[in-house]
Amino acid sequence: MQNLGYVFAILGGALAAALAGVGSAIGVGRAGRAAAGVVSEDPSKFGKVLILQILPGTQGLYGFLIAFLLFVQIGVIGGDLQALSTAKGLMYFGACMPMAIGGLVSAIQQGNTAVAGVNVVAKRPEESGKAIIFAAMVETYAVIALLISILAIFSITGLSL
Amino acid sequence: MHETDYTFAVARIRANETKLLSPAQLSQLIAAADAAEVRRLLADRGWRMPEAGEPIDPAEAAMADAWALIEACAPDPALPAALAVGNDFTNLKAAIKCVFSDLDPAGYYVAPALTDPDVLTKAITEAEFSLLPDHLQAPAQAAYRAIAELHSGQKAELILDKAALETRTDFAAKSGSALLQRITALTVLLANLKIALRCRRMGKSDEFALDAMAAGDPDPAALYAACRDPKSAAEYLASTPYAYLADAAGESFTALEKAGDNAIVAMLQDVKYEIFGPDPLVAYFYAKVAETKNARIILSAKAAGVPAQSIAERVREIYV
Repeated sequence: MQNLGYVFAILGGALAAALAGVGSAIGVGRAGRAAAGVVSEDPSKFGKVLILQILPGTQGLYGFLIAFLLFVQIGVIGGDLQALSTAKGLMYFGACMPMAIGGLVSAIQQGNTAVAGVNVVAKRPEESGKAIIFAAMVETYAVIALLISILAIFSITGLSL
Repeated sequence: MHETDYTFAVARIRANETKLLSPAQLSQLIAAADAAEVRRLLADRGWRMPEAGEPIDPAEAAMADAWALIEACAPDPALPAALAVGNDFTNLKAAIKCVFSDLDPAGYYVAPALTDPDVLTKAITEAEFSLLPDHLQAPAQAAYRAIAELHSGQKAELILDKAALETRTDFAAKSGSALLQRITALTVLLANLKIALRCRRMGKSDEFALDAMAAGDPDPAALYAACRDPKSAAEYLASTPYAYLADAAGESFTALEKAGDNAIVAMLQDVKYEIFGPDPLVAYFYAKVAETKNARIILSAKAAGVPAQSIAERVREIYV
């Protein structure tokens, strides 16, 4: 039971990386299928649809960043393991949830918006900038989730529990 | 099949929709001086035009290209099957009529279809119905018998028309496309309505009319009872979800057909911005059918010297 704090903290970091990564994989995969459909008809649109395909991939990177920061803070990376109370471990777990859940959902939704954007490029390539903005708007919520998770991790580190 | 499995196909279709004729281009075709100018304008839009003496129908070639695209990108073969199954019955009808008239049916077959025309010809010529796919066996046998034993071409035609509509309904239900199901339901209603009105006008028995009508919604019996003449048909339709057909039904069969075609185009507009699922493929197919139909109307009207105003009245609304 004395390592339960570590169990919760590592589980939180793992979920942040895994769920955000799953969301990005789904989003990038969907946008990629749509992009391939357009490129198979008109290869000159590759550059425009590639940007749309990449956009849902950022959540996976954010999830990785949260997991990395957390593991550094608790000493899993760097080898400086110190006692971690169950309460603090649970708090770290909660701190990772915005990125885990926000990353999963926003990446899938951003992927869907990117697919719609690819369809815009297919019919009106001159409007690709607008299509990219629509997909980029979804990113706002992934960034908010990232910031909250970072702030929470650093705040918890300063607590003595 | 999950809707997102159509992502690649929908993107390919959207890229190809840019090649469909726009309303402005259609107006340009209608205003063209003659058929030669229409052919030149179509060639500018990427249509394959026959060289001198080459036996290519430009509309047929355009439809064949669109069909090849749909077949290549649809992830579920049930969708192209549902789109093409109606032509199986058109070809079956041609095969039966030609075999009994000692004609070669090859020139009467239409594409796209599910059943190989050679198999169809062999099955009917040898009366070997087991060669046919399941959905054609019973109707082929019944239609063949109607001609061979009852000498009734009309009966055979009614059997095949009814089977075609009911099979299209079954295939549409399996295709996963809500749009195709709506289009098929409308097609069944229009066919039943025309049968009811024609039978009333020709004094056919109730049994004959009801036997010819395909299962659908509204119920054929209720539809037949309500449609005593075009006026009562219009009143009945006004109380159904198909109220938009009421005026045309009270007018003429031509008006009804045009209203039906325009209603299908309106349904296609509903899925214009869909990014997943089979509906955009169905919309593209019907848009291409309407486009090739319009091109044929314009080409033959120009060849016959029909004025632009009269041509404009005959062409259908388009999807783009």
